[in-house]
Amino acid sequence: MTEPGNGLASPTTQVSHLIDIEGLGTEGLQQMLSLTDHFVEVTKRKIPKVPALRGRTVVWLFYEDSTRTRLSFESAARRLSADTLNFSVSSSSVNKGESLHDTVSTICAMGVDCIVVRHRSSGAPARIADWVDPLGISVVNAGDGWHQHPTQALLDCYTLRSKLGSLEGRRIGIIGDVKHSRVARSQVDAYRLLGAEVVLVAPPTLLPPAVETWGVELADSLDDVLGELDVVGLLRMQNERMDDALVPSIADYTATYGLTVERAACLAPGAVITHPGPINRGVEIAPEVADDPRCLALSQVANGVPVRMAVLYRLLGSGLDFPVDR
Amino acid sequence: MSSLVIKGGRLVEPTGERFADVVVEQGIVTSIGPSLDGDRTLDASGCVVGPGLVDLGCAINEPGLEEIERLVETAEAAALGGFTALLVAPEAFSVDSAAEVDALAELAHRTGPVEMLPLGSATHRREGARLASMGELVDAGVRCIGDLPDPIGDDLLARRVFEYSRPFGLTVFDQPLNRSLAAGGHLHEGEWSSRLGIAGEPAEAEHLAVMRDISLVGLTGASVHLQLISSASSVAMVEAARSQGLAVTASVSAAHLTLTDAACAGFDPSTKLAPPLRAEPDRQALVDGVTRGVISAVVSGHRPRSIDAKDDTFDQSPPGAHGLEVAMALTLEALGGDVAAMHRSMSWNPSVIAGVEDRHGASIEVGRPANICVIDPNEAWTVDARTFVGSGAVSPVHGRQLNGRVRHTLCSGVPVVVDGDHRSAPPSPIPRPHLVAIPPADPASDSTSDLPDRPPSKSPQPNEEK
Amino acid sequence: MAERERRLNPPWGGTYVPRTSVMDSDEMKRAVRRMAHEIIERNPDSADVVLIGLQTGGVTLAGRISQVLGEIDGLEPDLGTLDVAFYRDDIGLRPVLPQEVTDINMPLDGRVVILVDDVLFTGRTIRAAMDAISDYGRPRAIQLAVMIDRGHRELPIRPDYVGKNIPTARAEVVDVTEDGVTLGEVQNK
Repeated sequence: MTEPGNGLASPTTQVSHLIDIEGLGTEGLQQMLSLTDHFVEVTKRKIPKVPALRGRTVVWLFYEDSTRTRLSFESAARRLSADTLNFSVSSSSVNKGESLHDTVSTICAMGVDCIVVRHRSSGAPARIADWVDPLGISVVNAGDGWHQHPTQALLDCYTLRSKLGSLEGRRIGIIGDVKHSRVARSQVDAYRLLGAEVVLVAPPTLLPPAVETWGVELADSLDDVLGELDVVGLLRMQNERMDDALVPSIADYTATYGLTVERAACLAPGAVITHPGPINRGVEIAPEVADDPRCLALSQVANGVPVRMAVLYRLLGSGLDFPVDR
Repeated sequence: MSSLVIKGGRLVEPTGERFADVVVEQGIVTSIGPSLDGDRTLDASGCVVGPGLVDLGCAINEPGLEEIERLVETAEAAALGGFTALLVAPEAFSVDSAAEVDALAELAHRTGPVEMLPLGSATHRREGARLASMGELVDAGVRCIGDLPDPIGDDLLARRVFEYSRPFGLTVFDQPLNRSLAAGGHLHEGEWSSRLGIAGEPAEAEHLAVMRDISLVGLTGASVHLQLISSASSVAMVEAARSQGLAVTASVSAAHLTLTDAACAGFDPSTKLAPPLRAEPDRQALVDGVTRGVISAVVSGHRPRSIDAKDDTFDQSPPGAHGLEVAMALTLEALGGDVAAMHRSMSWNPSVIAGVEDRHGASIEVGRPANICVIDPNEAWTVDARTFVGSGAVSPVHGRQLNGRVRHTLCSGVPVVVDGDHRSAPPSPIPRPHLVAIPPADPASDSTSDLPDRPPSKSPQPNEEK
Repeated sequence: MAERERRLNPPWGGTYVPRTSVMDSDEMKRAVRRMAHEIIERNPDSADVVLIGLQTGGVTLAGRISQVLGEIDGLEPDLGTLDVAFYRDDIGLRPVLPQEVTDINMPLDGRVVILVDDVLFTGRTIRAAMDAISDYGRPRAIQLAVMIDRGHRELPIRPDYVGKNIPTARAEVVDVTEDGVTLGEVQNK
């Protein structure tokens, strides 16, 4: 920190929403990771709580069930002393056919500062941000359709940086159903912003269209690239893909793309494995490999809380979204 | 009756432009020349005077979905956009019989003098199972049939429709889409759908259907109009077919000449259209196709949806948007300000395809019905969809700066739009040769009452009259 | 201190321009020695004492005081650092991103915590620091050492050990560096 009054403390760096990684940019991404260091320290204290967001209200608007992500966000919000409200899909008028816009208007009328959204439609958080931005309410994307899951990518970057140091020049493989994965899209954006080289490994039916525009390498087979990867980033493989004629069978998928014990033995020394969870043991990763110390899945979960604290603090508490003229 | 002079404008014709005033009396153009006078003057200085636009691609929601857009609103939007005739495809309704042709004509008649021509069904009830009653439709005056906005899905049925239509001289409209390959995509399958994480519709879904239709034209000798093509390969196939002498025409929407799938970056459903906006090379191929006449017509693509439905997430929203009020300006911009080229694709060519060139869309000449639009090609304006006619108008070019605006629109000599504002006008009779007892050589009588000798109406009187 | 002021007061950013010299580096050294003696006088058992330097201006000073205490007493007291960004009472009003990590890895219960900062101004930073400290444990006492007390307190907070008292105008800015203390102003970019 040599130059105060730089981009970090400048009030013109307006960050009102976290919708995707691209909108964060390299500087915003680095800033978020640095901020996470502070919150890791907070979570290690005897009283792991700071009053930073006291009086702020954060709403969970989860149209898709996700206990893990929601609890991680909940823990983050509480450690910042924020109040939380839960609009989950099973309760409330969400199920009675109320439109998304009406639900959001209802929430806004209750007086909230931040809406954390998970929705099965790509673009839902972006639409909500359009509606609530004039009210000064922030939106955090907790996963929308196949589009983005920015906090997952942030915690993945944080975990990898803690383990490997700088990601500049590292070779990171992302293996699995990239086409339908919001985690993959956010990871590709984030890893590239940090200077890593990304390699996608997937059956052709599970690669996104026009993937040649993504700025990544492609590999037909996991075995071809396994030995040169610093990171093996696994994605969940879902059963529905078989029904949609995208893969012949789960067993077939595992044989070609799964991180089996044999494949794990071919990893470069120092290579690590990530998984966004929950793990399908025996599908994308063998059970023994899931328990291997090189698999960082549990660290990822642990880092999820301070990362989300950093996100909530950056949007709501840091005062950086206020104009100069006060 | 009094006379009206359109003064100070440049008359646009296929051969070029010339300064000329136009006098209109009793719905007919009575003289063209320099320094003319009339009882009433419409100022056309700085403007281009040309035939009213003819839209081959306008969806209507009345009857059935009046809460989205009433027919009278469609008519008003059309006039504001410079259109004097619309070939309308009903959203919640199908035109399978003479009775339905009449019902629609009756409804349209009450909205004002903009002429609405029905697109008859190609298959019964547009269900894609049996042939529609083409003979009856032809007797009722229908010239074009189609199942729009749906494609004629079944290949064998398409063959039968084409075969059966030929002796009637009908033009079969098809919006080419292979549904199986489209796989429910919401956006053009490409870089943007990939980045946004939304299921995409590959251009090949359109190519397969275009290929099918062209092959069947070769097989059956039918006349087919491919409505709303959207990709470069489709343009190439249409060009090849036409060079072989096949009776194939094609249209593109004004929005597709202007926008690409990049417009969908913000997930705004106002940019969700069917066919979807495609990539830049496709857009350029479409503009090139229109310029060279490979694509005969530019249509408004007007397909209003409920405002709530368009306020949803991108994938949940239905495709479609307002188009009538911006189509001319978008086309003019895409064609580099060439007014004659715009009229070729929005007046002259479509009028021939729709079969109304005797009264709409053809060059302004003495003795013809006065269906005219006066355009200021330099007027700069910003599109504000909230000011469009109809509740909850949604447009993919909302907020865009455009050049070119309709100053006046005359329908059968009645100035429906004056200085950019819509004026109420009593409906003028529309020609219904299959119904009227008088000889059809008198197409535009100036009677302000209902048509003579009309049998008692079976349809209920609407509550509102404009 | 000029750094924090630049960050926390409008117009944010800008550059510090010194106008008057208040203390030179020799005077500062003497002040540090004096404060160290005062600390020992008041807290005879140095094992009891924890010095906590406030980021970023107080950290160097805490280090220097600790070093001198070590020379006098033979034992350098425990040293920690604290960033109070998350405890400020004006969150949402001023730009506050934490600058350095907080590092308090020693027990505080029953001990004397001496907060160290370069400049004492409104007192809000110290209040935030006291809140933070209470989240780490329950010290027997909290004392405050500052190099410069410039007045304009907004809260009932007083220093126990002061290098120098300087009357200042509110708009002026005090800057403490290794080379000395100056009084000046922040100029717009």
